Amino acid sequence: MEKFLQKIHGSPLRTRFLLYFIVLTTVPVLILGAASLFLIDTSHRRDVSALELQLIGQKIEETEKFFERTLGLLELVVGYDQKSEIDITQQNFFLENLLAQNAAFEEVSFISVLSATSTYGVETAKKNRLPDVPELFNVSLLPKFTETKEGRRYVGEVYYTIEGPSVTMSAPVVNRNGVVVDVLTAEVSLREVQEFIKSGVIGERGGIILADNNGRLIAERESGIAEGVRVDDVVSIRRALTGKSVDALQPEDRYQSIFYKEPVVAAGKRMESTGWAFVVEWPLSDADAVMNTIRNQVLVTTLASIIAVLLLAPVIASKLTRPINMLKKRAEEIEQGHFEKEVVVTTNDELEELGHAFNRMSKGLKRLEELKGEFVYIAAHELRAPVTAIKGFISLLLEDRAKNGITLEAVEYLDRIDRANEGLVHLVNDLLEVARSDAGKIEISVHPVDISVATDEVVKTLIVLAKKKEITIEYRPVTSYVLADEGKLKEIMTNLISNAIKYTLGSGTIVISQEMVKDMFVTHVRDSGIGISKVAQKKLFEKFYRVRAKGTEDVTGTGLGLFIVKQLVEKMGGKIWFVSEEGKGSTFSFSLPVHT
Amino acid sequence: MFKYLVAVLVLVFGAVIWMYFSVGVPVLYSEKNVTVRSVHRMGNLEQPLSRIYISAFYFIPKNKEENIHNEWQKLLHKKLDALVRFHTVQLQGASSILYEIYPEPIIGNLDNLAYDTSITQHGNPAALRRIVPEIESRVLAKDGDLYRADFDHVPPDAYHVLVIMYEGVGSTGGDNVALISRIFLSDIEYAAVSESLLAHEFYHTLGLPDAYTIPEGIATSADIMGLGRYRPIGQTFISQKMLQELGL
Repeated sequence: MEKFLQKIHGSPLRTRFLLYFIVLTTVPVLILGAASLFLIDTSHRRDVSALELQLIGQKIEETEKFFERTLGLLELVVGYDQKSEIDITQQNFFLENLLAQNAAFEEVSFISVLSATSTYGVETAKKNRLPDVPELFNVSLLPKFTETKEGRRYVGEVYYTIEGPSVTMSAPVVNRNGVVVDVLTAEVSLREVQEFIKSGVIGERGGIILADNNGRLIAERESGIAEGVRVDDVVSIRRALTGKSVDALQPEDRYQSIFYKEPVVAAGKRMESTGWAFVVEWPLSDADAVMNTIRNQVLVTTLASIIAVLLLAPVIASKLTRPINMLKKRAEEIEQGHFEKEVVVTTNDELEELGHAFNRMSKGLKRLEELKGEFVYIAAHELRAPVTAIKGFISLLLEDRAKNGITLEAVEYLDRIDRANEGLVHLVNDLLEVARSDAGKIEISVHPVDISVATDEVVKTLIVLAKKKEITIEYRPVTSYVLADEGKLKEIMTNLISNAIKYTLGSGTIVISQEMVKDMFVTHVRDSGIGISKVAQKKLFEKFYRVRAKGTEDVTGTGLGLFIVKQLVEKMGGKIWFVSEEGKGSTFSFSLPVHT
Repeated sequence: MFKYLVAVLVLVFGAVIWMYFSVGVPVLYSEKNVTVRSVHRMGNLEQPLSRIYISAFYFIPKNKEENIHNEWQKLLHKKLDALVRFHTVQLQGASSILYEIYPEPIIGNLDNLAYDTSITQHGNPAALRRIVPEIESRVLAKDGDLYRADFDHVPPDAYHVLVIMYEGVGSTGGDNVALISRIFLSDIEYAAVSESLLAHEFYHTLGLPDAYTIPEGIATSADIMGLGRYRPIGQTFISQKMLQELGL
């Protein structure tokens, strides 16, 4: 992480801005998108849960009403006080009416409760919707009798016949004193319950499933799974049967449905009076249809925002960093001594003000440079006469030292003064050359010159210096004419060869070669010296720059030589360059136009 | 630095892809343990009942040949079809019945007195004791005088039950054999409940006991093994308790 931060810190402003811009814009967009999706999904889930539970509540209410209505028809109060059964004729009449009143009744019967008689627990009257007259049986051991004779209503387990699910219901018949005088029982078809279960729809395809307390299917609208089949393997039904919360919000409430053969979201509830489970299953493809549309819209918007950011980021980054880059480029030009150009920043903000300030600074620097140039020129010019005079007088003193009675010790001092003065003369001449160059006052008179002659003369002049350091100079003159100022050409050659001698520490070889390259004549001065470091190479042609390397502490110079050489070569229509490797020597090359 | 920029872009698009596949996407619950129920004979978990094969016969004592019902085959088909429908509903599709009716009435070697019993109120076990060995030796054994190769179709994995419509009195059911008087299946007196009576005896072959008191005959259950045998087949049922004994 630390490395990453360091890397970012050291990278270009534009890249850094790009990175920050992308991170600072896309992260909030992503967080916003994810939060939106999460909130929409949560809200949607709650809506689905509420709708499903509402449908379940409605169906439970309808079922409870069915039971109340049906059992209510069986609850009979006779209009007398004594404990005696209803007359058989009246029983039959009443049963006929019951069958007529409620289509759910398949079979109805009265059961005697008079324990003193032989008919205790025996059906005394029975009516069935079938044409055959039903047989009367002793049912005294069945719960529909044993429960009800005690005055309690009875609703049996759901049973499943070929004709559909049914349930046994029975209710006590009481006299005005509340004494049970008969039991009225009925086999009740659950077709009506099935119908209103099947009519319960949620969304386009969602529906309700009803299972009895044993987990057997009473009704559902979708799959055609047979009634009576155990479906308590379905997680929502099983959980509802055990009274657990099935609210369409739990992880278990989304599963692959055996009814729809696809993923559903389910809610469920147990009807307390019967123990039946009411479960709503809603296919996710239907329940989440709107949610999916919104989800896709949010995702597309998020993605589009991110893409827009990614497209805009480089443009904005460039726009914001362009003035800074312009200022940087301009600063580099000023560093090279070019003060003329103005930087134009039109951002109408602090950067524009900075641009104006920069231009003012540039003008100020230009003026300072001019003043400096004038000062150097004047100083150098004024120094030239005295140092020349000093040089002359020292020469006169040394020539006639015997006549002048100068001792050997004095001669040695004069010699040192002469060498120091020679350096001073050299410096003054260089300063004047530079000052002329800066002022554009260098006078060059170009005419055909045999470069081999000029080069040979310079080599012969410097060979003494080279021999002192055991340096060999190799040069094979070949007559070639270039367009140049002969004096300046010699100055160039002198500078390059003397540099090669100075920066070759100990013995070595200097090779001077020349060749034609297209319409230019190129001269190479290759030495086996110390070479130039990469850092120094960048500043080599700058004024007053001197290479500092181990072993060069005694090398003298003004740091103006190569600057002047470059100016002279370029004034004569040529170019100068070099190739150097530290420790392996350097090759300086310059070209001049060929005289044809 | 460029690689960091690429890494940021990868993270950004990775986050979008994560959002697409994760946020707001329903996760389906799936149960690790799924209950597998298998139907078996009551009290015998080793005897599966997923396939039941009924070989049905019309058996007539030698001296009752003149009483042969003219449409016995059609009658037996009708009753067995009703049994198949009832069984499919009650066993929730977990058990299926195939049946085949022996194409000829089987004339017994003995008179009816040898097969019948005077007590028919609680079935006719004496008839079973004599009729079943006779059918086995004469019809099912390959050397039997009534053996037919085209009747020998019992699948090896099926639970084999013999259903015998008997031209005599009584009805009974036991291990692999159910017998019922032809009178219960054809007489108008029993028309409404004849199929239920056959089913009652058939379910004895699956191990279900009677659900009424003996000798009073008072039903202790309203299902097919009790009072329900006297209700039309379309209105009767097997109780949840009995179904649990069968593995459902």
